[in-house]
Amino acid sequence: MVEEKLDNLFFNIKNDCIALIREKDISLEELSFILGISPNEFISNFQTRIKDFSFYLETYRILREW
Amino acid sequence: MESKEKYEKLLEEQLQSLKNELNNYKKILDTANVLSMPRDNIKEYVYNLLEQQKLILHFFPELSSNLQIINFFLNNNALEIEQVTIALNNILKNDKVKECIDKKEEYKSQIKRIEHTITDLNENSLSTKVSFILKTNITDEEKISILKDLAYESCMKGTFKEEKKEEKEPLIEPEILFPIENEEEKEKITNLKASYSKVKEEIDSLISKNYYLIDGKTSKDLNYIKQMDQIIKKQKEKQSTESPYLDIKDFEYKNITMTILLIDMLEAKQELETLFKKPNASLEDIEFYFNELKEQYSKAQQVDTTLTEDIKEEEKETDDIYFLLDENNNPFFQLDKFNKEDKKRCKSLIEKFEKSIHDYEKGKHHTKLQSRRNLFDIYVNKSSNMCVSYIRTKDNQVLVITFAHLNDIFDESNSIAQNYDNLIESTLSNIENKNTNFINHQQEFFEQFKTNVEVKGDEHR
Repeated sequence: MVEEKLDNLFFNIKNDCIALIREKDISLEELSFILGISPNEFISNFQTRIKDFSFYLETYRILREW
Repeated sequence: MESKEKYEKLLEEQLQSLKNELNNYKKILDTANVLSMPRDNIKEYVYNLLEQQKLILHFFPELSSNLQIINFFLNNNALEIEQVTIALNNILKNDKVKECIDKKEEYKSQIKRIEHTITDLNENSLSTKVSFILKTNITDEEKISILKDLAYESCMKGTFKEEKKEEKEPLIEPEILFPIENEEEKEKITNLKASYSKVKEEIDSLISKNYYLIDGKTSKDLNYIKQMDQIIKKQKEKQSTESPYLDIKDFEYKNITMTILLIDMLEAKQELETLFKKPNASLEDIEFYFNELKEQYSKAQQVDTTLTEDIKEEEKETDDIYFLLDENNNPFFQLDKFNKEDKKRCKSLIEKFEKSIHDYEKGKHHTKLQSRRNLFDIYVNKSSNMCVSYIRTKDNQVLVITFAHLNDIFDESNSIAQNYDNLIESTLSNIENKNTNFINHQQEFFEQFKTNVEVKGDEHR
C-alpha cells in the first residue's frame, strides 16, 4: 500500500520535474551539481526510485525555485 | 456497575420492551383486520373470526359468550339462524371493538415508528441513543458518563469514516457534546495546558528560525512534501510492516526533513490550541496532539542541530590547504590532462580556498556529496566547468580530494572517498598532528602545483 502510494508519488513528481526541466531549459549538469550528485546518478535516480525520497522533493523544490 | 455495562443493560431492556410493544400492536392490528373483514360471505367471515378466536379473546375477553354461540351453530351447520346474527352484531357493536377497527391506521403508524426505533438502536444511531438515555430513569451523572462513552465511540467511527472518504467531516454530532464534568480529567487537561505553555516558546522559536522553508511557498510548491507527510503519517498509524519502513530519518536532504516537521508541528499546534479552547475537548485528543507535537519537536531539534552545524561551519575561516596524495606523493588528479582554461579554473579554485570562499556558504544549494556510503563530509567548490572536492577539518583546514570537470566530480570523488578511506583518515590524522615529514611533502607538492597551474602564453595549450 505504502509502496504503491510512493510509486504514484514518484511517477507524478518525476513527470513534473521533467516538465520543469524542459520548460526552464535547465542543464542536468548544473541541476545534479546543486543536488550534490553526478549527472549519471541523477539520471539513475529518476529511472528507478530510490529509498531516500527527499531527493525527489529537493529536486522538485529546486526546480520550482529555479 | 460500570456506566458502559449499565448502558448496555438499559439498551437491552429498552429493545425488549419495544419488541413487546411492537408485537402487541401487530396482534391488535391483525384483530382489527379480522373484525373489519367484509361480511358478504357470512360463512367465510365466521370461519376467519373463529380461527382468530384466541387472539380476539386476548384483547376482548368479554366477547367470549358471543363467540361460543357462533362456534356452536357453526359446528351444527346452522349459521343462518338469527342467534348467530345477534351474536355477530353484539361483537361488532362493542365499543372497544369499534374503537379497535377505527384505529387501524394508527396501529400501522405505531408499528412503523417502533420498527424504526429498533432499527436505529440496533444500527447505532447516535441521536436515538442519546434521546433514549436522556429519557431513562437514571441519575444525571450516570447519563453524562454513558454519553461520554458514546461520544468517544462516535469519534472513533467518525475518524474512520473520514479516512475512508479522505475529506474532513465533523467527528461528533453536536447533540452529544457535553462539558467535561470529571474532575480528574479536568485536572489532567489543566496540567497539559501548563506543560504546553512551558514548551510553547521554545517550539515557536524553532518554528520561527526555520519558517523560511515554507514562507511564501504556494500550496503547489509544498504539494509533494505534504503528500509525503501524509504517507509517512498513514504508515505510522497502521504500524505497517511493509518494507522499507519510510521515515524522515532516511532523508538525506535535511531541509526537506525540516519542512515536513514544520508542517507537522504547525498542524499539531493548531489542533492542540483549538482543543484547549473547547470546553468539551476530550483528554485523549489533547494528549494525542501534545505527544505528537513533543515528538516532532524533538526530531526537529536534531535536524536543526545538523542545519546549524552547517551554518557554523560556513563561518569558519580556512587556514592551510592540503592535498590527498598516494604513497608515491601523487595526487588523484592529472593536471597535464587539463587544458589551459581548466588549469586557470584550478588556480582560481585554490584562490577561493585562500579567500575562505565556499560554495555551500551560499546556503541555498547543496554542494555536498550526497552519499551515505562516505565516512566524511565532502564538499564541492565550482569555477565554471571545473570543480574541486574537499574535506574541511575541525580546525578549518582544507584537504583537497581531487579536481575534475562538473560531470565527473561527484563520481570521481565518491570513488576516491570509498576506495581510499584509510588514506584519507591517515592524512587527516597527519594534518591534525602536524606531522613534519607530511607537512614538508605537502609544501613541496603545493609549490609544484602552483607552478603547473600558472599558465603563460601557449605553454600549456
